[in-house]
Amino acid sequence: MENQQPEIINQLDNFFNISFDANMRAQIKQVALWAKICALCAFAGYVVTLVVVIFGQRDYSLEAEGFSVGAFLRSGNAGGSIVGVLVSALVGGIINYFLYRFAAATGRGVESMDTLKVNEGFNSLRIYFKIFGIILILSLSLVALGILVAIVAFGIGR
Amino acid sequence: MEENVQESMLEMHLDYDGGNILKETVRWSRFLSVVGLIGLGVCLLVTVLMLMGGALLTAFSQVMPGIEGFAGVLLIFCLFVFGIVGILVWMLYRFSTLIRRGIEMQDQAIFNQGMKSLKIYFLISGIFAILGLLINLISLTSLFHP
Repeated sequence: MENQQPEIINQLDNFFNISFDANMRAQIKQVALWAKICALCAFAGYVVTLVVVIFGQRDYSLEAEGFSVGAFLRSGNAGGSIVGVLVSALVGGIINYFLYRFAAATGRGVESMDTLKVNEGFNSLRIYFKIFGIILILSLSLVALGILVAIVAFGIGR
Repeated sequence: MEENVQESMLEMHLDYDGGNILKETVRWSRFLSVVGLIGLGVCLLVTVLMLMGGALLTAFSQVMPGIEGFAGVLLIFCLFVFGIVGILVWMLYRFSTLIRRGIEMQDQAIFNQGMKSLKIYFLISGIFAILGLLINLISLTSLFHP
């Protein structure tokens, strides 16, 4: 009876019979390295974009998700565009903060063979994808709403 | 044999919490990749239709006069961009499905393949992040040298 308790814990610990062997650890290190590059480039991109916008450039590219997605804003109204870029930089900053946390925690966890740290890293990756998913759902809802409004307006116009 | 068991004991294992976290991670990443694949298909269709109708060329000719003669180049450029985005989204989809299957089937090889897909996804993203930053830096220099 006394021996049963550690056995159950052991079973739970090895519930997933997957190990982080040397090959896997090397791959996770690479993932962490490139994720860190993505996050750092995104942070630098936001700073550069803000500098460009604040110092009065009219056309500026907007960095999102670590690489430029080609969103090109043309500002007629400088105040509005600064607010827009600030909001984008804030949202992008939060998203990329979680990507950075994933990279840092997973890399450190793999190096020190600390499963808890690796789990913490994967949890940050989960939050990163979750925020992206929620933003995507919101964007798709807005597009659907726009299409609906356009159809209704077109119907009324006829 | 004993050495192998000892090595296995010393190795890091994916525990219950880690497995659950990864399962939820791949649920979101699969959603993103599926929406991405659908969106890419729609964009590809719209681009081909616009190129066939000449609307895209007209729009581009307003930004870059004289592009009308380079419809083929524009098509190749569009296909290149869609190809890269397609690889990116496909890698995310592969990561989602392989990691999930690896955890469910307790298969180390499948799990490793899933992690490899995530590595390729971040590698491509990282290269484009560097390129994006360089473009942003060029726009910064144009601010000081108009």
